[in-house]
Amino acid sequence: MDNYRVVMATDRGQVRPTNEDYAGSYIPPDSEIRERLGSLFIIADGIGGRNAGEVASAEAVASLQQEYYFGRYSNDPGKRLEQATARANFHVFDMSWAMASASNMGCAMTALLICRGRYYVSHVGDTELLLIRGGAVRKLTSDHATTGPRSFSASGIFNQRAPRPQARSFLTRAIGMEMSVRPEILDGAALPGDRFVLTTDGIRAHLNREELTAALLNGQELEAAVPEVLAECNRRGGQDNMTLMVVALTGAE
Amino acid sequence: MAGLEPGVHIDRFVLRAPLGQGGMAMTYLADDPESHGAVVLKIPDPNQLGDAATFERFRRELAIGRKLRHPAISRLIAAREDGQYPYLALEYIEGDQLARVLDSGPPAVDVVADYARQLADLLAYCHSQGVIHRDLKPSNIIVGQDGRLHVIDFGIASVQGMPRVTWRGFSSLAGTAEYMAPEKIRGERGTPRVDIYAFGITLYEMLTGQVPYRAEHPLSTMYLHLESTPEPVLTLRPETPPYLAAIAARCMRRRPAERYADGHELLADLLEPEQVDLSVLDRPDPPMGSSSVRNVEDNPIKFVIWAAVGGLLLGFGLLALLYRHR
Repeated sequence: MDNYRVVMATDRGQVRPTNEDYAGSYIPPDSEIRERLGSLFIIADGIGGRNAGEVASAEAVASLQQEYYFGRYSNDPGKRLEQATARANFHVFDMSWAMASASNMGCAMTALLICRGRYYVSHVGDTELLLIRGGAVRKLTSDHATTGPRSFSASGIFNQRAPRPQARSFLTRAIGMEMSVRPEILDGAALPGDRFVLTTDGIRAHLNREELTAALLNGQELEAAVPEVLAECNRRGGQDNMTLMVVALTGAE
Repeated sequence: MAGLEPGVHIDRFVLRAPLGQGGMAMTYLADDPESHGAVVLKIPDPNQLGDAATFERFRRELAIGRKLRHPAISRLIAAREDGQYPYLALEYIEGDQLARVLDSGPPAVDVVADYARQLADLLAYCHSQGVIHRDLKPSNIIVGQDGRLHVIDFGIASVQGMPRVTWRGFSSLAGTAEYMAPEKIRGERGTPRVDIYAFGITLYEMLTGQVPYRAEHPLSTMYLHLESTPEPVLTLRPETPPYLAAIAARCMRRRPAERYADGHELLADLLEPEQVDLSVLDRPDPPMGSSSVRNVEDNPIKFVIWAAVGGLLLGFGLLALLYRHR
């Protein structure tokens, strides 16, 4: 447990009436569970009318956590994460059918699992995962969206967010929009010193990758740097909900 | 939602005072000129969890209020689904949350036994009506001044004939991992036995003053439900009648099939203490173990394949024997 530092901050921004982002992290205190299943860090950015995006992102995160740790799935962490993501997707999809007022809700979601010296990623939509290693930054996930910040889904489902003046885009994949989803699954070695940076698009609306990396590497403690990033985004207009989670590996996991 | 001022009229009701924020709604004490009595007005609060969820809960409570009639459920007096302030007007019960009552220590054992019978009677009724409460816990139980219990908040109940509820009741937000049955934790379909489990945890808490499983993170609490063995009721409170400890233990069995099937079975035992099977007190409740697909039992496909291979080998063996004997 001493091997992680996790700092998360989320904010509604200046424009949106509610915060439809949601994040969750779990580092099992039980070393046997930590060794077997690892630690899971998730962010999600909801979409859907009448604040349903808020429900979608919270339910997606909570159900992925619960499915990953308690569902009956593969022992292989990557496969298990993929299977649990499929189930979380179905859960949100099913909810949006059962609740008339929540139809068409969904979310983008990026889940980072760190287990036995490796990282595993399950990713859908335009939330983002960066890896800062040895001063270099690399974007691990791809955006499942047409150009720019999103507004619609590919299946023609409207995201009823306030329209933006700039070019609107479509999410080409999202959690909860269809009965099944194909998450992007990645894995690789996790090394001491690695910093994994999870963001929703509200951060990137105002800060480019260089600015974000610089803000996180300026020598400040993460506990101060992370809220400062959100404050800066708000100073620049806070166009969208924003969530930033940094998972720093401080020793061998 | 900004609080509404006392004196405001909502249809025929006149607000008297805010009672607080519970679940997804603002609740107000209000006067009902028609009955000259007090009612509780429950007004969904969109700020709490997004309109979609709030209204779903509202709709569910309304449906249940219309369906159920039981002394332990606040009577639905009136409701309005549209307009600026949709509301439910419910019978006002003067009393305290059971959670609050327990804060000042566990009640006397015979009081607990009485509470248990009342709750079981309510569960028996709900289950006979095809309703599973799914969120039974001391903060959803009101102890009236006359000592009668009332169960509130049917917002995530499942009702036969209403859309299927597959989700775990806004798990992350409702924060009720302490009362969550193992099958719910694993995302399996809920039956009345999830209420029986929550009842068992509540009974344990009423008797001992503490919940059996509690950890810092809800996921850790969930692990405890699956794997840890709580301190027995009789150790924590030796004066508990064994039958009551046995009922709590049976309700809290990890495997649903080992619990009472529904409120009726539970109530029958509470009403006939001498018929209660005490052997459950000595029977270990093995952990649910790894949540991975590991053995044949858990993996029917593997089982079928092995069975087929075994069958083929046996067949060949028999054929070989036949040929030898020719």
